[in-house]
Amino acid sequence: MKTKNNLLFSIKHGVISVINFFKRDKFAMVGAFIYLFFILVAIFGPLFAPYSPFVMIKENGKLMFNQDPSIKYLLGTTNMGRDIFSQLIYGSRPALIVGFTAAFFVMVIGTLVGLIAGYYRGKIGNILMRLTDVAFGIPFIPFVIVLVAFLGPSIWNIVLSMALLLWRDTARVIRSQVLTVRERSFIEAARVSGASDLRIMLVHITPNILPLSFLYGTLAIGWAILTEAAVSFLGFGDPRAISWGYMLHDAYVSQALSRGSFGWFVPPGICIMLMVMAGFYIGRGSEEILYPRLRKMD
Amino acid sequence: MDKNRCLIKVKELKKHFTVSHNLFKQSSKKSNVLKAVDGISFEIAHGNSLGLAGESGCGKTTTGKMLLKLYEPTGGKYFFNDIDTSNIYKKEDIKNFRKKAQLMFQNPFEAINPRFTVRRALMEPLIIHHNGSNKEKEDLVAYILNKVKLQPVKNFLEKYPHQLSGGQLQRIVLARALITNPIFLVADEPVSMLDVSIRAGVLNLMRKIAHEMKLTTVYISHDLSLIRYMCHEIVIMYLGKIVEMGLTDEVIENPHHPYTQALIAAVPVTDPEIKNEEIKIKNYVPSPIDLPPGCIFQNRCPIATEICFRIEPKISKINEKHQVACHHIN
Amino acid sequence: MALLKIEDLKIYYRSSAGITQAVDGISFKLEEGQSLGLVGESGCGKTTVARGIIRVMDKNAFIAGGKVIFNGKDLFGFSEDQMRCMRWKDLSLIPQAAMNSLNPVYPVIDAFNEILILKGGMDTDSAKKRAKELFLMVGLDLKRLYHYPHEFSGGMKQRAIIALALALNPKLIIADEPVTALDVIVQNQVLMELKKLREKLRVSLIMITHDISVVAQTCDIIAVMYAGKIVEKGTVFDILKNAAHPYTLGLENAFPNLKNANKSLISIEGSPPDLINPPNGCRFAPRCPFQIKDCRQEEPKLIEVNPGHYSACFMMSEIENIRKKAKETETWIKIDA
Repeated sequence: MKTKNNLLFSIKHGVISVINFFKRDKFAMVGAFIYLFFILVAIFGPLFAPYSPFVMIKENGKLMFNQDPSIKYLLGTTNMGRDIFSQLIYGSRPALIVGFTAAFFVMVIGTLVGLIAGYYRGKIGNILMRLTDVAFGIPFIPFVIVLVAFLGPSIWNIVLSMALLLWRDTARVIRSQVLTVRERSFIEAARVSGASDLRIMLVHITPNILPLSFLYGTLAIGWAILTEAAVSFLGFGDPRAISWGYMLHDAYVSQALSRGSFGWFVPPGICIMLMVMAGFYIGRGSEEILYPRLRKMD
Repeated sequence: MDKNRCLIKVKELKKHFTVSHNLFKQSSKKSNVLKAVDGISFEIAHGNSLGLAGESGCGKTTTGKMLLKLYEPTGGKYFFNDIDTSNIYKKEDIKNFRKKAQLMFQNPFEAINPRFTVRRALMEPLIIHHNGSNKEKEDLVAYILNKVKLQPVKNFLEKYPHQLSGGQLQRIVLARALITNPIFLVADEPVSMLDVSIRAGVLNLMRKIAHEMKLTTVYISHDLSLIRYMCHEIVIMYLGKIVEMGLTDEVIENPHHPYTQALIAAVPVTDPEIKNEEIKIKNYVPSPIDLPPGCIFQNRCPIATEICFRIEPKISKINEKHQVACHHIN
Repeated sequence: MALLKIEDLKIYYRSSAGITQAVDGISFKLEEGQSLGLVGESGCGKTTVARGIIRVMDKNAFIAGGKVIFNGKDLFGFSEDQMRCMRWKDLSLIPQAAMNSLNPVYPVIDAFNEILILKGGMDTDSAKKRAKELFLMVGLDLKRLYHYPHEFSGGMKQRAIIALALALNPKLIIADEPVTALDVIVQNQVLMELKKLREKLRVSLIMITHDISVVAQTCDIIAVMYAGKIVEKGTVFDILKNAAHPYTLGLENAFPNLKNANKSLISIEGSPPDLINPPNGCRFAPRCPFQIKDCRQEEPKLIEVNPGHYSACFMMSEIENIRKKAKETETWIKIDA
């Protein structure tokens, strides 16, 4: 019970240092705003979308396919008469759902594995690290494809496949950080005070690595979105969720490039790009967190 | 000696580490055992202070860690309050031991979790050992801060380590060590990283508190003057062995072992009219991995003779407390 | 003519919090062959002085005034290129923890070659000969010329560093805490070595340290620094036998004496002032048990208390009394600052 309180305490600390960090780095702040923007779009966008993304629009009985961008159809329509702009708005949902859920699992699993492997070293550490190596060895997209082939092309299966593999980077990085932290005097102090291994990991080490976990979490959002887009583009995505990647697939399959329907494939590409870039900027500014500003300030 | 009067009793204590690969010597003997501590014996009476002195690599820190069960000995026996510490291995027992045996660290800037406030850092041992209600814990924290003279207490409770000076931090490290009311304290170079004018304050505080709480203390330091100031008895270590031990005043005024003599003569004197002499000891420091038979000081000793290269010297008693490990005491 | 003359040296640091007046008007003289001990605790500015003389300061440090006159020439008038020519050849700096700066992937002789060949313009053969000479000079075994730094002990590395500093026969060596990290026996040997070399080669030395016992054994003159100022200077006998400043007296109280078991150790309460906003008047006044009202209004200048012995304190008329009282513990217990 007490340990749970202490875990929440560590998490609160991690969040505070993250917020402070955003205030300092302009690029990271831009990245944060981009994320915020798309989150708002994902939540409220569909209320303002002019059409449903699935409906095949007919005007006067005629199917409005391949329309050029106009006031009625801001980005034009697909070859099946669907409004691209509405699709773009709705597309933010699967992107963010996949992005955040996968990132959450990546962060949690990666941190746990890294923490335990880094703290226990020895046999347990070795087993976990070999597991990580196995995860590294498996090529990601083919794995997703195989999993989707067996379990069906649903958004959640894509999230599952990411959760199964993408924690590997985080684990490695967290482990090396834990290896450093565990050698510091205050950890020995905790041991001398009588703290159990579990307590040392959760109460003493975790607050010092949580910023790094959060960081890799935000990077993972970008990876996840990119992966979902890639998987959908290859045609293995969830057809019930019109994601940006799916839009690209659709555009490609219907030869939008040769028709010059830039309004169809450029916007989703830009959206994907922005989300990944935002993740990168946040990551790039992370050097401040990674380097000890804990040194005594004179 | 009456068994009950000794808190600490150490017999032929050893700590050997296996080294995976040896950068220092390409020797034909494939020995890869680092004998950090190689058979030391001493006793500390309740309430006494013992100084572990020696240069870097002599094994004093390793010994300190064994006294706190941070390392398990590879050989020998360690009795704490008449209990054989090899019987203390269950989680509960170790936790109880930790309440009674505490450590002060060398680097005050690293010894406290940088994400903890002073209050949180001091609460930690109390939380681990479930000492009373929250109010009782808070009271104890305030009490201990007063004891280490960090007043007014409320100015310090919410500060983070990086906001405090070395001297203040070291007092907090001391406070944390004392908050569970231990009976045994090991201090590993407690003031070496502090400014000179601050050291005296921390040392005097430690002396006063140790006296008040009837603490048994061990000070680990390479600084003989500090040990003389703080410790009743002294143990001089070299490459994992004890070369001389006894009452501090006596050992320093009347050293018998050539190594002790060199150490004392080497300490620079603050009087410009008295010039130190050059210590004519050969520079060769053997690797602790490949030790030859005989006395460990053989390669550097100015009075080494043939027997010193063959046989390890037995402990000779100069008087009841003063012991030396040398073939050549007169 | 003195070898080195520092006049009213001021070196400040720029930071986001303001300007730190780290060194604020330091003056001293050093003759050829003399050794000066620059003594003080962390933050007093002694390392800044060392780096300032040789102009290897941090990027955010700047020279706010004063002169460094070496062999009659003002070094501050030199360009960076001219300074680069002087370094290692006319003056050398042994920075703190220098022994850790030997490149671990090259054998030690490489560091020698770098200085002898690149800086000294020697050819490979002369360089090798000189390196051997230097090794013998500092008491290192010639076999170790081609060893790697990790095969050297701490004391050996420090000797190698001293040899490097002497390689091109400079007239002045500035050594920042050269023996602090060494064990006491090795410390003794390295200091003795340094002494012999100085006598043989007539090299001047500035030894920067917090350890007055080391200074007592190796230096001719001492300058005691506190919060960016020199508070006392004189010969090593003046300062250690007849200290004339409360800070120096306080510092001496803080050093345990190996042979004198009865000496009580006395701390100086408080901590050095913030150098971004230094206090008015004497910088030591807040911690000084002998302060009077004037001490907080006006800054004391260095006055000559004896020939060659200077102290920056208004209370010199009572110095005998102060010396007596400084030995008592009660004097130093915190009087509310």
